[in-house]
Amino acid sequence: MNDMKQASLGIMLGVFCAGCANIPTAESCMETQRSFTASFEDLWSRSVRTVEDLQGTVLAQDKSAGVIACKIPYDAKGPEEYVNIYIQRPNAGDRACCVYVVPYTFFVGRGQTQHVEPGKPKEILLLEFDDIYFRKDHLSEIGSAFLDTLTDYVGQGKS
Amino acid sequence: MRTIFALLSLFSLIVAGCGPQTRRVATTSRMAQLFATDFKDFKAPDASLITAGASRGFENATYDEVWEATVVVLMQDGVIVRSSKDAGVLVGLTRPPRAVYVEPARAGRIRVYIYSLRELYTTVDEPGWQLVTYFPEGKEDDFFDRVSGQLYAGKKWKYLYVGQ
Repeated sequence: MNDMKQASLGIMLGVFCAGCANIPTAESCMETQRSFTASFEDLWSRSVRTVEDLQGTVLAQDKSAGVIACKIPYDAKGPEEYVNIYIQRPNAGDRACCVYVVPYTFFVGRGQTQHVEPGKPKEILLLEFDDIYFRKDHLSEIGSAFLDTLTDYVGQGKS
Repeated sequence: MRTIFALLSLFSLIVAGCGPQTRRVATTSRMAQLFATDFKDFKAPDASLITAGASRGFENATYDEVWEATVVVLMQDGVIVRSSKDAGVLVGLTRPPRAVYVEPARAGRIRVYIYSLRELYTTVDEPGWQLVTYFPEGKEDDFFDRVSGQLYAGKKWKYLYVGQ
């Protein structure tokens, strides 16, 4: 009987401890787009300025396409974030422009491939190289930080 | 017994000696080189090269709508490092990296082409070796399906009304 009491006490204690643990219930969603009541031209110049404000580097931009590729430091110790920004031109009769932001974490793995060189059938060439990967960063705060800074410049945006 | 062991060891050494020798070389891919230079010298391929890849035509949509759907889908797959709406070309660093060409309308149909830039996974210092040999295949259809979903979602399916 005593054993049963001790066992149930142990179970209760375990349940309590589990309840107190900081178990995340939901992950915050990455914000990818926001609508602005502003002209395309205004959003374009403000977006480039926002990248600079966030200590980022614009890698490529094409106004006709509405696409900016940039590199923004997320954290001095962390990996680099490559970010795509797309400013959608408004449809006829519509004043709202939509801005899409998609951040990616860039990381390098060690890659290996084997080859047999022509004329050297008894030699295996083992090539080692830095293999590059991207992972869409669903938990990055860069997207929100970018859109918030842009909102400060342009005015109220709507998610 | 010792003699047998010694003979076996000697035999295995001889066999191992006859096997292929491995030459280990540290190399760099074109992709890594582009990252090191922030893509400064990277030129997007011409549309004529991209049209050699897989394609799908989209009807009942404007060029702007198809372009927009393509950009939104491609930017979900990887970073778009080159884009020009005038040329209709986009380059996304997906795996494998992809060049996309959105062709101007012909006979009411806008065709989107995809070309895999596998050459970015070749060596810089050793001549012409392919560094990544396996890429997931059959992803073109998946890409086009998603462009189609992005393009036609919320639109009336106009072809259903033809003849009415």
